[in-house]
Amino acid sequence: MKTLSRKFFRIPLFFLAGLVLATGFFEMFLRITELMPGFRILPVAQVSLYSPDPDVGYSFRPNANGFWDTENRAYIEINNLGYRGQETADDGADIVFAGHSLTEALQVEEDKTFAFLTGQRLNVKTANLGISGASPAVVVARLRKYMPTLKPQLVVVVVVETRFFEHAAVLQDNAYVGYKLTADGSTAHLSYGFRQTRGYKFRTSEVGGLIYWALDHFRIVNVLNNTFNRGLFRGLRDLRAPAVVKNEASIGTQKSFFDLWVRSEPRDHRLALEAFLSDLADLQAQHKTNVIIAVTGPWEDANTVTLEAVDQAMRAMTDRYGVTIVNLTPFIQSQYPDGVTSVAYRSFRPPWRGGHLNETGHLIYAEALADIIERQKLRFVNPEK
Amino acid sequence: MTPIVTLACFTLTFVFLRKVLPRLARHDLTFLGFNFAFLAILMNGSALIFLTVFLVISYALAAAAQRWKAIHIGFFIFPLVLIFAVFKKYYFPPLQPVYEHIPELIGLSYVIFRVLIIMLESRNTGKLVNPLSYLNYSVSMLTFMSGPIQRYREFSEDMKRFKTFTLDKKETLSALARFMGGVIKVIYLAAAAQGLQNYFMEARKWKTSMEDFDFVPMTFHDPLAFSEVLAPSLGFGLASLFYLVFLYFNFSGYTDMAIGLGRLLGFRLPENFKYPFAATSFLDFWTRWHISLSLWFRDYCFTPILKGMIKIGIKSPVIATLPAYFISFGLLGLWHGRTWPFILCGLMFAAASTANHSYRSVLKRVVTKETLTKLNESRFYQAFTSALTLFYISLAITGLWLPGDEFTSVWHSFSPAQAVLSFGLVIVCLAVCLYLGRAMLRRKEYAACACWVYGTIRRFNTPLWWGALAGLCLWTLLLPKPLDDPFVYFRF
Repeated sequence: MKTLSRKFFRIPLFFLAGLVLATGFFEMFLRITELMPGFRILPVAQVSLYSPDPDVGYSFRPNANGFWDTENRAYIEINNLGYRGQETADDGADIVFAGHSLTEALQVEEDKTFAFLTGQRLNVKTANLGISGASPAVVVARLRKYMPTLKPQLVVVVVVETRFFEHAAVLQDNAYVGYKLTADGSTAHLSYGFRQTRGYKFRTSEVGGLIYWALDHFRIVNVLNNTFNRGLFRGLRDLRAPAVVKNEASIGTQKSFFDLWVRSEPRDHRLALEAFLSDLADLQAQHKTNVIIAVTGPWEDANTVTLEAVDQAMRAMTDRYGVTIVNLTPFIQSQYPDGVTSVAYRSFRPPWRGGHLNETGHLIYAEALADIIERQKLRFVNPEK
Repeated sequence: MTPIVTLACFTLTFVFLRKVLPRLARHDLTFLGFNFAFLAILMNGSALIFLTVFLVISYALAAAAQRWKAIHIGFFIFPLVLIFAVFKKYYFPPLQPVYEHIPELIGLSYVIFRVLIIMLESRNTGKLVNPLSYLNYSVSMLTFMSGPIQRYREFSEDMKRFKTFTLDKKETLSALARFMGGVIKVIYLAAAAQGLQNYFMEARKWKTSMEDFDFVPMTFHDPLAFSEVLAPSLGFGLASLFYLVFLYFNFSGYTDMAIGLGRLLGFRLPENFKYPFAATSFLDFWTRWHISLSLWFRDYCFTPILKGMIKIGIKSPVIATLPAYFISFGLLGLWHGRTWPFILCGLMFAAASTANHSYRSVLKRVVTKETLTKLNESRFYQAFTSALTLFYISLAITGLWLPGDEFTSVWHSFSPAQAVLSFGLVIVCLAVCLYLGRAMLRRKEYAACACWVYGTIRRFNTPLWWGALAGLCLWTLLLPKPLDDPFVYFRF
């Protein structure tokens, strides 16, 4: 009887206690690593930054912080309002940057992002509303959410490459806010279908809340969350079908970019683009601010004729909606007169060529954006602040 | 990391099978079934077909080589190597359109060594290995991905032991300790070395790329403030050195895991590393690093070439060994990759081996035996030659981590004078570190402390301890880093 009790009760109990002990030890190890210089080189738990948001679909969790470890390791802090920034940001900003992951720039520290560097160069206060995976609708929804609080004098939407407009989510609203065509198919409008999905309901339930609380308080939960997000068998999947390094400046991508801006094709994406510009124009009028959309095409090696055609199309858009659209590509090309591949400014390490901006890339973008903003001759003085 | 976790799962399943169905587990066919099931998980369908084709052709060539002894062995080896080059998509032969239809084949670089062993052994002994043993040997799940390259004789002895092997508590503990040692090497030590490598590479880039911008002083506040002149070359030199350290922990960690898992099945896989950072010369390094590969090249490449040189009438041993060293190390470098940086790597290995050999010969003639012994025993000399060797190898294998286009741009980012100055600085610093490190390790207290820690760990044998160990393993394996960076030597 005693042996049986030992076998079926004591041994599993002690084994479980050992597991709990190891978990506690590991949590401690991760915390200590983060506090010491070891964070530069030892494994860290990548922070989970996002949570559900009724206005956008997803957003940063206010006050979340920790290390981002994809492509490059950087310490990330989300402020009390729910965007990248160390400070409590209740007193507004002069310039607001919006866009997708290139603006979000989780791969570098905040003071090395182009949003910060541009502000430093112009000596103004900036806010970075960039968020990973943002579609045009997400950008508009985030601006609508934050503009009343931040009261910026200038909004800069940085859009890199055509993926922003081509993204499948442009015309879908099941994961986050998206543009939907009206019944007659003539225009597009923001739609919030995600609010009815099971995933969103679960994430906003009490259980979901508990998970986000655990993510905020335990590094180990972040490790588990990342493992499930990546997929348990990702290593095997990569071995079976090695990832092909795509050339971002491919002719196909250039063509679709050209089609969207110059030939207005495909039609539904063009309608979404027009709705996006129209919404930005509305925001501009409503908040008495200026909106600049900075676009870069996927064509470091594009010919002058193609570049001019797109520039003309963008100028036509400017006249129609009253927002400023500028093409950053010529500026980047001017930095590399002998020709350059995106590796020089958009990669941290070889496997990530054509990825997010590295520190050089942020410097180039900051220089370009600062020049463009200076040309607008705006005076950043706001009597309300 | 997932492939090694899969291998661990397969090994444990086999251990379980041996416990419940010992007769079935003992059969060669069962082991073959496990091997191919493992491959089926690891590779996609087309890759598996290509591998099978390669194995069938190799066996046919081995049979032909054994049957027609009058025909020169090169006649059978050449087509095999050619097929290997095509399947591995080497730039020579230039068959780019064909390469588009060939899937990425992992493990083939190790399979070729084994099938060549079978071919040469069959020819020498006049006895062809049976197909079942051939397949089990060629694609053994324990050594398929990254070796070690086991000899057929050792493998057949292992297979005999495998059939009667019973796993006891001592062997289990020893195997698991070896496996865990490998896990720690790969996940913590290799990650730390890679972190330092990336850090120095980035530090090099920041400085060079930020020079063009007028607001650099505001943003550049890196703790390691390199001098402006040496930044690119010093950063690159240190990054190269830490890549070698990373490679050691990554590869030897994997080998430890494979050896540990092999022990659970009764296999005695050969050791692949023997303190490579203690090497005092280039030739010494290759007796300590990737030993199974070096021994393969010694037995099947270096020795036959040397014999050939003597056969054609070259009497001087020094002159006879030079081409043997040059070809063997050239091929060794080329085996690591299929692009031109690897040809350069091969040439650098070849040049170093011949230089090292010539230096030894010259030294023997110039200085007396006593002076030579004194010199070799000098700790300063040892530390300096070690540092020189390690740094040279770090530079030679740059092609492993820098792709072709970046390889050129990095080497063009500094002048020869900058390179000499900063690389010299790295060598001197490394020599000092090696000297102090070895002096510390010689002290008995450190050795005693290490023994006490190891002994204490081994004395624990309670469910609490096993639970804690399992928890640590679990959390360690779940850390994101290893999932991002698969084993370097899987690529070959």
